[in-house]
Amino acid sequence: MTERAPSGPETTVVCRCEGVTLEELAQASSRYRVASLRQLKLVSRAGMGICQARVCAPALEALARGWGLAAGSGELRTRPPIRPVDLATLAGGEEG
Amino acid sequence: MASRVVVVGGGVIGAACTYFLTAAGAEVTLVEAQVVGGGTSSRCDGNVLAIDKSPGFDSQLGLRSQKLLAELAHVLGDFEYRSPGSYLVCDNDDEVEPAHTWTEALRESGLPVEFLEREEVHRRLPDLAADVPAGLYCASDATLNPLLYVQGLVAWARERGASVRDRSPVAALDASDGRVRGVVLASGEHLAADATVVAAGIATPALVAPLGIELPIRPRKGHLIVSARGRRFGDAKVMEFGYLMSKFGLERRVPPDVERYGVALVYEPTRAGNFLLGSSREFVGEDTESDPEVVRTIARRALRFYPGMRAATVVRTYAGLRPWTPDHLPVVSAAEGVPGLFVAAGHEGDGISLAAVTGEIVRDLVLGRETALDVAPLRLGRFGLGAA
Repeated sequence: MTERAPSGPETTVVCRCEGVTLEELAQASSRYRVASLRQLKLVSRAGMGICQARVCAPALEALARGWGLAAGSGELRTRPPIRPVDLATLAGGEEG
Repeated sequence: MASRVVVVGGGVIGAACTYFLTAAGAEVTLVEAQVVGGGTSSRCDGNVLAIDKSPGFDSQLGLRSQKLLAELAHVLGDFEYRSPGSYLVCDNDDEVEPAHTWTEALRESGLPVEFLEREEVHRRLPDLAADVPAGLYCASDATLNPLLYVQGLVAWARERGASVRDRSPVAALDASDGRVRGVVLASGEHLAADATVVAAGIATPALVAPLGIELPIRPRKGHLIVSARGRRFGDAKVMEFGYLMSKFGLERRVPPDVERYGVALVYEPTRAGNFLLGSSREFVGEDTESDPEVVRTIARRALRFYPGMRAATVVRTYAGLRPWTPDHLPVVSAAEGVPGLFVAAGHEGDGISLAAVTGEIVRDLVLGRETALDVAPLRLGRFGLGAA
């Protein structure tokens, strides 16, 4: 769900699903004195949309490393389901 | 009187204690084993409810916290605080009379609660399954983004001089001559303090056990399902009345898996445009992996109340560990007989709801002030165990 087209450093979209820009990440990082990539995700919603960071994880990790944040492999954990699924399927398809 | 305070635990409770103590002029160091706001406070919903608290003291705590939060919303940065009220809906006719009784009891406690007959509940919640027989509504209930709330409390305190030490596990409380004088970190570093507040959720019992304090807090696992942005099913929070029955261990007329996993519908729309679904309650140790069987039961339960959710897209499931206590009230207390030690833990699923009032009480206990509420029901010694 791209909400705006990238046209410069201040509008470079890092997380397309949630429409989080590079500038918003920098602001959130500074405002909350973010110390790790996980914390950056929690305060910005980057990586929390429909793709669950499957697209933006490399960019987020590179940014985090560049900013001196903890950016190890455990920072952006994937959780089930392994891909988006509708609720009826998750319920086992026997409902209704 | 104490001025140098160490708060152990950077979840919502420790963050609120840090906020209130810093605001009162104490010199606070917040010590967190991992990431601030990264434990149970990141695996929860954003409920700030009075509707699910027992009438009387419990609901008074909830109301006090709601009042403090409304003030915090003007002080801290935006944490998506809003007050749309909340609904409880009945599953079957057996629940209607208890829901009526609950409504009356809450009203007598001064809560803005109203009972909704069948027609009214469907008028207000048009997506509900047609056979839902009744419900109730609490106008004062609020919601917030717990991730931003915790970070906002800590950021505010930090800007005013509080020190935050993350990735700093505490090896032990620093106790000598029966008094706690701070903490010893796993690195070997000592942090001295006049008062030490242990707000470490499920990790609290292990920290105070060496002092002979037996604290009956146990991890009660809960799952959440997260949707993608898309169609929503109303702007207010909706829970089933059975949530209360599950919370307080009462018998419900529900399918066996719903009973086994303590499942009850919780629907929480977020400002980001998606919604969360819960809930479950299990004593299964400290594992936070998603259990597919529990998730499936929660999904089925959601469809029982919201048949239109069949096509909703799910992007994530996860689980957190609520710090449960036997009487469903937190411990917010000086450790009787151990000067210098305070405990603020055991909020089960009410950490987000009650963090503000907890922080206020801890401030008053640590600084020797009179508390706004009678806090005897929150005393550590009430369990009649150990040194306290």
